[in-house]
Amino acid sequence: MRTTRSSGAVLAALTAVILGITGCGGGNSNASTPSKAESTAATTASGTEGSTSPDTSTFRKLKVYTVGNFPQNDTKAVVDEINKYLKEKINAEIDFQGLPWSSWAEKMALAYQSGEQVDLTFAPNWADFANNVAKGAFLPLDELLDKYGQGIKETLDPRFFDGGKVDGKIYAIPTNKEIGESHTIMFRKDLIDKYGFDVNSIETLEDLEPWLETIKQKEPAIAPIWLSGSGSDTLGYFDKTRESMKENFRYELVAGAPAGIVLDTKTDKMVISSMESDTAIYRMKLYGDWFAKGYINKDAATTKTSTEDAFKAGKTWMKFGSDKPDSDKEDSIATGIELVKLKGNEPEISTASVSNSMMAIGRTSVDPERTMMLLNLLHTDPVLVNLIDFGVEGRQYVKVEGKENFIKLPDGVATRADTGWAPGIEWMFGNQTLTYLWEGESADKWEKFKAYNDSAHKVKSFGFNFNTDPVKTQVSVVSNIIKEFRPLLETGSLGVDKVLTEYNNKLKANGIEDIRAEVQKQYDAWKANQPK
Amino acid sequence: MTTASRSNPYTKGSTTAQIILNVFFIAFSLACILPIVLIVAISLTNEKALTLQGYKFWPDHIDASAYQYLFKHSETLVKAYGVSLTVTVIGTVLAVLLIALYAYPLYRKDFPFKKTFNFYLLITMLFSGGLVPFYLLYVNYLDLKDSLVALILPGLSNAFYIFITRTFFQQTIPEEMIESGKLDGASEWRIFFQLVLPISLPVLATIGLFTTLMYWNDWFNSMLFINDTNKFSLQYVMIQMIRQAEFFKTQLAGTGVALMVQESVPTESLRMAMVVLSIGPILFIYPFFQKYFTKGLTIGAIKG
Repeated sequence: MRTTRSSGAVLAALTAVILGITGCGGGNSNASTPSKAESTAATTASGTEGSTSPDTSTFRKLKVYTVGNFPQNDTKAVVDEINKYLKEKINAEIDFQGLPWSSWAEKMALAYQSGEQVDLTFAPNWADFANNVAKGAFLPLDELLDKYGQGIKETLDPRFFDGGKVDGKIYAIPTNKEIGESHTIMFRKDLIDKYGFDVNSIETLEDLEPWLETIKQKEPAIAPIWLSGSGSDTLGYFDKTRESMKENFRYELVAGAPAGIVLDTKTDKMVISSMESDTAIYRMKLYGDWFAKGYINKDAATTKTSTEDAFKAGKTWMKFGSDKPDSDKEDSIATGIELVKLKGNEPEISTASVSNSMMAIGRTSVDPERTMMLLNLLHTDPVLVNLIDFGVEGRQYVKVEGKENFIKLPDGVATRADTGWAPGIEWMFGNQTLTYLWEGESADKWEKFKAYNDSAHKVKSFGFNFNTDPVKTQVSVVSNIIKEFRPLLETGSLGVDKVLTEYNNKLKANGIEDIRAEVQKQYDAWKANQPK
Repeated sequence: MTTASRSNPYTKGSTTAQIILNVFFIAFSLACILPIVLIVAISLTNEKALTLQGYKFWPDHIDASAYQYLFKHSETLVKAYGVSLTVTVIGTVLAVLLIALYAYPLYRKDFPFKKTFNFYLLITMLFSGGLVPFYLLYVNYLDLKDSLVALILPGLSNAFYIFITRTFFQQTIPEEMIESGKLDGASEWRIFFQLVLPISLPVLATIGLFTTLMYWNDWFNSMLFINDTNKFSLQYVMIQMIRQAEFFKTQLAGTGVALMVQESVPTESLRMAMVVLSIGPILFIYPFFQKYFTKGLTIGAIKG
């Protein structure tokens, strides 16, 4: 009797405690949102009242989250230098949180959910951006941009701003870099020269065939094409086949949707590429044919060796890659192998291409105004941008004598990784066109970038972003099926017809039609709202 | 050996079974040992040879450059080793003590709140708060971000181990012993430390080994709570290196970003060398615990 009562009491107490904790936690985060917003509004008001010059009288420590090749040995020295500079400029310092690729996604999700201080954060569209905006992780930036981000507005191609927009409001500022995307193939220059190939003669994938035959005959140690099934998205690359050229339009990938669904730009209908797109099926069959002829490495579907590694190890001589001005030079420097490239597709601006690298200001920012000032500096101040990207002069790099804006590694240092600061974040922070050039790059690299950006054209679904929430389960199942089958289909390693049937049946059985309907619905709604 | 088998009636005349069993266990042990041998072999293979020829049990040339690289850039590694050792040692000692301290009163028949505490324990086994509340508690309320305490605290107690320990007490420690201790004038603490614990070594060793392994292998808490490079645990450093390569291949593929990330992903031989280094200390722990396991089994068998 006594024990029953006591356990009952304990149960009640426990329930109360549990409810208390959860209720308290929930209430806390709910309550803190508006109060923070209010205080933000208050400081905005007081900060701008009377004077237009920004108020930087109080010192701020801003938490900046990014991802890259972290940890770096020399982080402290570099961040100290950045802080010295920032203290002078805007009376702020940064608490630099460089997270490694392997845990970044998980850590950021927790940081947003737990209400930790997040001032500036890397928020590309491929890392749950739309979802985070929906959950209120980021602040809308339009006003802040008008007040403290004039430099960004002046330097950034206006087409970029669409990348960070959700429901007409800007939630993230894209990095100033190449605006479009195109794809190319790069070859080892020594072999191209040896066999007297003319890179400019290649118009379509089929034109490669005689080359592949030559390489197969004369260079037995080399696989003419190296594919590794473990993920590389070969179908997204160099997409010129006779079939696709004939049609003279492309099926567009839809930002946020599983890769199996593409947009038919003629009819504005969503199409399942492995069932309804003739060009995609044709291409898979072409690869099947090539595989049968021995042009593709035999273990393509299973090998763990990436094309890049096979390339470096001398097992292949070409690789598919994304193109931008000087990409062959950048890759030559990175791989240590001299490369030549084909002219790829015309650059296209898609939702993904303008939003694959963006910075957002967190809802929990202690000082959104100052954070916007920092972001503005990143877009306009070469000193700061180069500090973050390349580290400290004399320590991580030295200037090339007699050449302005050219840098090289200090004597005795073999690679950038050995300097203690090589996080590989040049394409994330602010304005890439302000960065120094490495010895060996073209002096007019950034002019080429500008020309490239000007020549890029918008794709039809530019600005549309699929929100996967309503069909979340189907998307995750279908994505797994795609991950399982694409290596087989894209490398042509098993009979394409048989695999294709099995693949399509599985897709159908697991709700690809639901996803298609949802994408179509959202796309139509989005399109109806676009200015004609 | 032969005399023993001849005199043993159970093995007499069943040579086939003997052979089958022996072959089976030889195969089984090989299946356990060979992967480790392979890892060691890969760690000693030249990277280029790996790409060209794949994994081999006997590399053509022994190449220790992966180890050279590790030792040259060993600062992070040495620190991570230190962190892992500290956390494991402190964590295990405290955890075993705490678990025994919780289990002991549950075993005592004269403890008045036995049911309450049992119930409380059971609740923690059945329900958990989930990741976000867990994270919130440690980061926002206890403010343990970037602190080694955050690596130790979550593993200090485990309801399942407490039940095991309690059962062990119930089976091995006669109540008369406690009574006689009391009659001789020993305090509760003295009974616990000088009478109960010494005869409970088998269960303490078992729990200790589990906890040691748990702490040594833990990377998740590091990932959640630690941003400071100096406080990374060994397993976290490793999982980072391994997952990094995976991440590029799976997550970034098709985002158009993969190619912007000109990344020096650690090479195969380097990763294997790290694995070899990290299994070192834990290998030496097994023989140390071995005798308690044998003893523990005997005691269990006799008491039935």
